[in-house]
Amino acid sequence: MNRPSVIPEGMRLLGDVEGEGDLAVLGAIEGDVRVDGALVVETSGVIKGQVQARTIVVRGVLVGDGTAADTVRVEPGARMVGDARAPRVSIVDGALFRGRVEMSSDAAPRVGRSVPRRRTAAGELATPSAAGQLVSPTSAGADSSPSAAGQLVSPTSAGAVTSPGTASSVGAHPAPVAARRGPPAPNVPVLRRTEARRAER
Amino acid sequence: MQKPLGYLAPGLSVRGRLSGAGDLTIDGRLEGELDVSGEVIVGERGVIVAPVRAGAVVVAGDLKGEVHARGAVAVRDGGRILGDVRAQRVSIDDGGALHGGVEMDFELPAELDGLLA
Repeated sequence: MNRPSVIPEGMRLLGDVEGEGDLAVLGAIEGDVRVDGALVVETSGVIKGQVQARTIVVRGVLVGDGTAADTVRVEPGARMVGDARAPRVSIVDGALFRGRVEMSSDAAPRVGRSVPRRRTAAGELATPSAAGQLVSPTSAGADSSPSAAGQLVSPTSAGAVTSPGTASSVGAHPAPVAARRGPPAPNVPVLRRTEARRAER
Repeated sequence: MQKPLGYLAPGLSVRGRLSGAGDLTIDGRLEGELDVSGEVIVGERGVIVAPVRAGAVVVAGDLKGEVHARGAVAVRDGGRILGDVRAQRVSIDDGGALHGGVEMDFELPAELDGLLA
């Protein structure tokens, strides 16, 4: 039996978590979390920090980037401020989210679909390579090990890699630039209010 | 539904200060500082390298650091504490190890007062 780790409600961690297995957060963590299983931020849970896991489910509050090897799922009632990076990212209706979404198809190619060109998360056009595989500019430098370099490397460590491909990764850009590059803001009253509040600061 | 208890699984490592209400079972590793109101259980595979304050502490694994419990501290068979222990009650099972001072708060019989003076 693999019992998942639990930071219970009422408990607070000022520091980092790292290791194997699943983790459910019902309390508060201020620090980075990296697990190889599922990370669930439950309704009462709060994380302020960078999180990495195989799958990430947010039902509570996550302030920081979420990078998953499989999926990031932001559920109704959740509040997330940060970038969500995974082959599959879902923001369920009713979830509150502010940040960028990056779905890199390199780690999990969609079979049975032939798309000649597609936009990468960076907004640049990816061109089919000679082999007919899609190579996105962001991961070009790390093609040989997509799961290691394309997925699990944190923005900080990605910045340290000298390869031009990785260096041009979107995560390395300062937030304002990324925001300008993104699609036009959706017309959501809540967001407009938030933007206004942000502008005041 | 019963509220889930705090748990660190084997292979999970926590570094930092963990504090708050509730119980915690550690089969993984904790380094830093631990300050909780409830019971702390260090499982056979658990390792704590930190000063510990808790309501009660049960150690079947490894604990390195000062321990301060309002209630009882128990060292089970195979358990090991390296550090001073201050608690209302301290017990060491056969097979358990404790290297450090033990301080239990209690009164001596009043009749001794004259003898010790």
